[in-house]
Amino acid sequence: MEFNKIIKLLIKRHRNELSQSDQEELGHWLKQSDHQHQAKQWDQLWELSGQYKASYQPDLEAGLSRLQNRMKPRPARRRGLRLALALAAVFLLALLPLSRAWWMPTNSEMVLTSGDEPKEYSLPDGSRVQLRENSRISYSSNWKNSRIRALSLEGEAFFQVVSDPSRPFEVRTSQTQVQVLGTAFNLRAYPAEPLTTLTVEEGLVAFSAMQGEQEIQLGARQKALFDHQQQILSRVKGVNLNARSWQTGRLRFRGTPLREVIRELDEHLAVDLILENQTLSECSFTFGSAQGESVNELLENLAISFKAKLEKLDKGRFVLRGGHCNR
Amino acid sequence: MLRRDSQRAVEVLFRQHYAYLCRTAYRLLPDESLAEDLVQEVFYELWKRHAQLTISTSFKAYLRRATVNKALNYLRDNRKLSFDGEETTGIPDPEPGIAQSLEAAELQEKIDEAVDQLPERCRIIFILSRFEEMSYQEIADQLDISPRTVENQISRALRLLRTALGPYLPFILLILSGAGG
Repeated sequence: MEFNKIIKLLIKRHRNELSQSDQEELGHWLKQSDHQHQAKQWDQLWELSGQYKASYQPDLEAGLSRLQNRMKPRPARRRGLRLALALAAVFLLALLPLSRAWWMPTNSEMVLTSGDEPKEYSLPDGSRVQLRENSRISYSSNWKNSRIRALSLEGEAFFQVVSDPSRPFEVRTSQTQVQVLGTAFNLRAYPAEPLTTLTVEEGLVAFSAMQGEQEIQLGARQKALFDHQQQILSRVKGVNLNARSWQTGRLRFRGTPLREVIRELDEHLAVDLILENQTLSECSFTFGSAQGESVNELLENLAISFKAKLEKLDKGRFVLRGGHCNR
Repeated sequence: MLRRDSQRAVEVLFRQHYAYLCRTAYRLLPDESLAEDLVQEVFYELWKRHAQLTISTSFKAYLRRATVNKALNYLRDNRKLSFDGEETTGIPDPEPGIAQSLEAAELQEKIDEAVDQLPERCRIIFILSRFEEMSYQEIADQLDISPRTVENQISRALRLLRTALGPYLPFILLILSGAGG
């Protein structure tokens, strides 16, 4: 009888799936000399294969606390601790350029994507990512054991990084990289756009261009841009309160130049505002939106404070006619 | 059970099944942190969707099925798994001059290595049949291949394992009986 057939029958016997005729066939074969011995070896091999990866023991408590973390609403962090972390960050950031070489790409990659609507993910270290539409994050599957928590971003995401001073958290985009130890920040890096923008909500972040030496350190409520065409990294002046505005739908400004306000309207709320009078672009604007205030209220407020006229062109497109800086 | 105090219920299920599910995912992938990530997602989704969820089988069966699906989807999405075309086997020849004794830990290593080196789709089919209590038909449906292919691949796996592990069998027997099974 065919050798292969016997193996199939022996496997079937282990699975308790032998039919009457199978049984007869196998019984017949087993009667022949030496066949009992052969069958025994295959049985042993089958038993042995059941030991595959038997030594692996997952960490139940670690897994459970990670899940519990995700199930409960995010707790507020203590301010004193945050300050200490920021100070620690100042010292450790100095060491970071050295550490880049530690990060080695591996063949196995974990991918998180958002598709048509924003999605929230938890990373293996408990850090959280709110991924905006059409965005993608990838990281090596041995992330948990690597010395740098490195990942790549295409698109836009808000990160809340669990502090771990011994393992810097690093986000790479096509043109830039961001390194932190534990903080919350928003990074926007859609490949089709001319700018990569970083807005820090809390903590301290090192933002650098992939090519060359440019690096900026950003603290809480600061924002920086990287211009892909000119390859220039620059800090946006003033305080930025809108790191997570694409999630909340609310924008706030404190003495922000109008040109920056326009960029934020576009980035966060997909609202296109055109200035008829270009000299307005350097005027500063302050607006503290209350819960539930709409984009329309912001735009009306903007028109009033510059004594301009707001006109709606079509959905999401407005033009501001006339006007001048207040004072 | 899940409707009332859902978080506690999910935690209880997690304690009961986490290790088992991680092993299931790990055998398929095989990558520890990836396996744990996927199982984490299974539970997180269970928690998020518990209100809409109707489970007709046991929780264990439901969770296992969800885990197997996730692992297979992962392998597919990352193009680690293709069910068309032939694959070559990476099974090495056994080392000449086998040591006189084989420690249990070494044996574990040999077994893991031998299975890891099976051609990918052969390995996946073998794992599903060996550990996941799935019938040939179920595996065939899951992977969109014929039950005959499933059967062929399983016996192929065993033949390849014999090539890799055969020379160790006499020692293995000693260790297994010594360890009480």
